[in-house]
Amino acid sequence: MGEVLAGYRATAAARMTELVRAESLVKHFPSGGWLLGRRPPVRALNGVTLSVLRGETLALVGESGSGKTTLARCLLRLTAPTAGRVVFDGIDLFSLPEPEIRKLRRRMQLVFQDPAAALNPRMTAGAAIREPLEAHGISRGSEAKARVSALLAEVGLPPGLAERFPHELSGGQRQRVVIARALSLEPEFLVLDEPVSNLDVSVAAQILNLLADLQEKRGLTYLLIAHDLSVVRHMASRVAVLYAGRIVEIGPCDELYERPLHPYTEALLSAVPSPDPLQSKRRVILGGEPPSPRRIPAGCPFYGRCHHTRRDDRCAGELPVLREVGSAHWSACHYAETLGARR
Amino acid sequence: MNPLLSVRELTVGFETPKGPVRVVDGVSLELAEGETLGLVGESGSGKSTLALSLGRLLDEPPAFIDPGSRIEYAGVNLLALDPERLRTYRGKAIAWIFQDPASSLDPVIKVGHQIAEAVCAHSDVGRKAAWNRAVELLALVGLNDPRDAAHCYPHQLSGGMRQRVAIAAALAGEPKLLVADEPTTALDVTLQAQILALLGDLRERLGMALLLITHDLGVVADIADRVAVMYAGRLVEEGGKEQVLKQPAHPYTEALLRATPRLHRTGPRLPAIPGAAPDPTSWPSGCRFHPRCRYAWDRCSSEEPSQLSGETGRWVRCWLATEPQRRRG
Repeated sequence: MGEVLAGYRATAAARMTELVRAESLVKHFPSGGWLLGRRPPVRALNGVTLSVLRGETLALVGESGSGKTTLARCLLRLTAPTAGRVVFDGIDLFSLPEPEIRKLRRRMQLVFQDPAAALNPRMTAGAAIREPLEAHGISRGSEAKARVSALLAEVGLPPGLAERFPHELSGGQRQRVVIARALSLEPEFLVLDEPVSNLDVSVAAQILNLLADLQEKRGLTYLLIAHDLSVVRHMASRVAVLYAGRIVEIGPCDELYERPLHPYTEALLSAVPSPDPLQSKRRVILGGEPPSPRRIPAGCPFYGRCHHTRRDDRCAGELPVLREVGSAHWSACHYAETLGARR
Repeated sequence: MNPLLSVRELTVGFETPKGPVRVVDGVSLELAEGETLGLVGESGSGKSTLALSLGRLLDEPPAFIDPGSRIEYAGVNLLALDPERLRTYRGKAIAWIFQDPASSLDPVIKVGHQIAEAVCAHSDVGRKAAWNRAVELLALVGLNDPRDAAHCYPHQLSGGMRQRVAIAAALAGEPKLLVADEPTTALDVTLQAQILALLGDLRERLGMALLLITHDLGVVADIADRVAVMYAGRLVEEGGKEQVLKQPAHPYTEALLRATPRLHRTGPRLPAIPGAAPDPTSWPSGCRFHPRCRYAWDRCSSEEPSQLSGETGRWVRCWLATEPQRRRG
């Protein structure tokens, strides 16, 4: 783990513009008990170090169970890591007293996957947006009302919608309300957890465009969790690929998509079906499933599913360290270079 | 050659307090033996209602199927059959798999028993033979240790494995037509690729026809022979996969393709389709897509186009087909 940290030092310039940093984050969930007997813990995160830079969109991708959501929850201080630190704008989140946290909370917000579940069905859209304003003592009464109207306008909704209940809104409108609510506290950092996965294509495109507009206008920093790699391509400036609770590759979006340097990333990208029927189907169909987070094998966690021609005993026995293999492009594959060279 | 499945003027709706709502409205389509038709539509387009109505799987009432509708399977009008006869077609002629395999599996019965039960329902075999057949089916859908897997409960299997089990159960009656409603939507892309490859493979080996219902144009491009596009209860376009995806004739298909994020197309702004899909309680007048259409002119809001065909098996429900010069600008 120390190696991972040493191997992944942000440059001095990057550190200056860094907003959030995770340092060697480990999160294990104990499991079992008197009823089920002792079972090994779920190792959700196994030493993740990364920085989110101001104004960028960093995407986290990986299969279910790879640790994306746990990582995001640690970064927002919604769950405490087993080991490691989270630093937000120079402040260690887990050594801060409660009142200070409250102030910091306003600066970071979460946009949930399912807007229907994120909104209280008995609360009008306007009340949902006004609630955080009042809870944080920012504004009340007519002032709060004016702010709600301004926020609705900002997310492209007419002011009359404030009186409607969630069930009277379409999926796209509900997601806009959730975004307006998250923006009400003027945050700098937004975690977008699968923001369009429940929406139809035609509506998803509207929401993605809105998020891009808001980022530009407000200078927001996004952490985007998405399983749809095409959506990531449109939104992200950098991409981190998670596998079994570790970053296996991280780099600038274009670079990573055009020249993946980890066999897992390569397989993920080739699994995405393209609407272009003429696109050549040189697909790597990844067999099997990720290792259980209770029993992560020694060596490279991807060993069992890897299709890399150079795969050998070293991969089975030695955990690969995340190392720089291109400009700001890091891979945790012993044979990253030969993967790139083969193409 | 007669088609395996022929749907004519199918209208399916629901009785609501505000009156009847027609969710599928006059849909006609055909499927030949061994063929794969991709039915594309967004939520609310009526595609899942269509899938269920093929076996009269909806509760009637509140659902109703308009008396003018016909669903012919190998020449037999399923809508004219009594419930007892109809049941012999379910699972044996047509089988279904759905988006969420967990919902079609019983959580407290071993998956082997569930499949064996399906085998017994369709053929006159003993329990032992049915169990062995279940193990064979689990092997057919690519489970590594079918013998062990048969003894598992659904919760002991991963999402991808559960979907394989659901497919195995659907195959128990050796159906000639598999209706797959968003079979990969709940899965990770890697598992999606596995399941699509499996469906393609099964279709080849068993000579099954496949009606694949999805919102994902990428999935259609992967596996379909022909594509039909559904919008607001109506089919709006149909054709060969390459025709529809490379040269969409309906503005909705065109807009949907443009709004779909691509792996190798960059830029933060996507050409979104304005507005939202209409509500089935109040379909727009004229062409149902006209309020969101970039080409719409006055005729589109007053008069609904019929299915205007070009060559065989290729048609579009759009006035642009009569005035192609309007497509520019």
